[in-house]
Amino acid sequence: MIPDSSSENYPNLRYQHDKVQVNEDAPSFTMSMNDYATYSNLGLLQPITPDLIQAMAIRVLKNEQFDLLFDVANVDLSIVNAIRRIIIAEIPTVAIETVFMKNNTSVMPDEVLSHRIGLVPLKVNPDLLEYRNPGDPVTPENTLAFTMHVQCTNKPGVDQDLTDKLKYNNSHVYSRDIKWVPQGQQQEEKFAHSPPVPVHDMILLLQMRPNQVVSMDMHAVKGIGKTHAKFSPVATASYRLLPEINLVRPILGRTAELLRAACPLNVFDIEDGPEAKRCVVARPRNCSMCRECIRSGNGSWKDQLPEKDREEVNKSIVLTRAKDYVIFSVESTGILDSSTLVLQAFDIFLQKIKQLNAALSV
Amino acid sequence: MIIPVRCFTCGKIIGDKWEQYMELISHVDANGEKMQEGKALDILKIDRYCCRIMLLTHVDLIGKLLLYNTSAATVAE
Repeated sequence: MIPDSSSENYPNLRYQHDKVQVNEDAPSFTMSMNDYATYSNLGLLQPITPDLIQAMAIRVLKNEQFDLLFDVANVDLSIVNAIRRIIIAEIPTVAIETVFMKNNTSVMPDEVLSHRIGLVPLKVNPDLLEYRNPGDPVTPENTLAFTMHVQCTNKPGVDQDLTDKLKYNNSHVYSRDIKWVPQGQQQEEKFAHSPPVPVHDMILLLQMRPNQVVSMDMHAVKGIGKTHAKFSPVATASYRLLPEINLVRPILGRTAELLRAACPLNVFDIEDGPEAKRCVVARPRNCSMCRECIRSGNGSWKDQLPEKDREEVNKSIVLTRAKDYVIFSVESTGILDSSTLVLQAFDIFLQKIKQLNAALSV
Repeated sequence: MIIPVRCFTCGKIIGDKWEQYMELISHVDANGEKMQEGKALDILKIDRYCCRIMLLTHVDLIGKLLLYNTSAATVAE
């Protein structure tokens, strides 16, 4: 039940449990009570049990290879957040860790160039490689070797007024210049069906002028985002609470037109009603909770209303966010599919729970 | 100095977008007008403002450093 925001009655406990209310100044009811018995008088005893996991509902909205968007309902946010953090920091990928610089006469210092190379995502199945811990010997099982050798030269007989790319060979160094060097036949066979390459061919690493050279060998190892962000398989995994725009009383006529126009994210539509044109919430998911619709004061859309209507409008619009319904988005860097990342995150999460269980039941 | 490989905030790869971005915003259409930066970023599918800021505010200084090529002398000879 959405209470009238002007109501003298303090919003009931169930409402506090379910919603975050977004007000003009600051949100209310933002906290989650972590003790499962907190709301017991409402019949809301919620220990985390298999039943509760069963109640969790997932609906996939967009399932592209590297861009996944899904809804998760009926689940405690701590679980959703654990999944998010595991995706960002604990799913292994392979990235270049060591650079052996043989020659660098470019304008970019060795360490800057090495750092840039480390950030290039590599299309390698991390399952095919073992971790290399500090002190471990470098073996074909735990390390992939890469090499890059680029020299910039003049193109003979071209107009000197042209751009660098037309005047010189290799004036721009791209990620595609990083070449895999298989170590032994075993490694070559293991990666035969998908040879390690950078995910993106055209990442600009460096610009050079004639006679400048960069030449280096590189070692790539398996790691996780916790140690270095270059190992993170995602460019953001994030979730947000489902926005809800409640028109507690109908908004009609000119007020409706003004409200529709005031929303920068085009949430509202106008519908023909029995008496007058009526404002409806057509695209609540567009809402970024910018609060323009409930803002009053200088320059707000309510300025155009007569004084007496403003009070009415203030009571009519209530913004809330659902505390048990999130919109989750996973954007992969292109190393692993987004859907794979979510499944792996659940595996790692279960592994962690088992570890904790074992540690506690000594 | 040169466009960063990844967005500082979210980690999205932007290093391969710079040249496309420069091409888009320097292109002059039939009306003699250049494309707006915002539209170019939309075309490149750079949606979040953290990544948009990376391209929008980047100053490509490497071109200035490239003028001081100490290796060039040997070529000229």
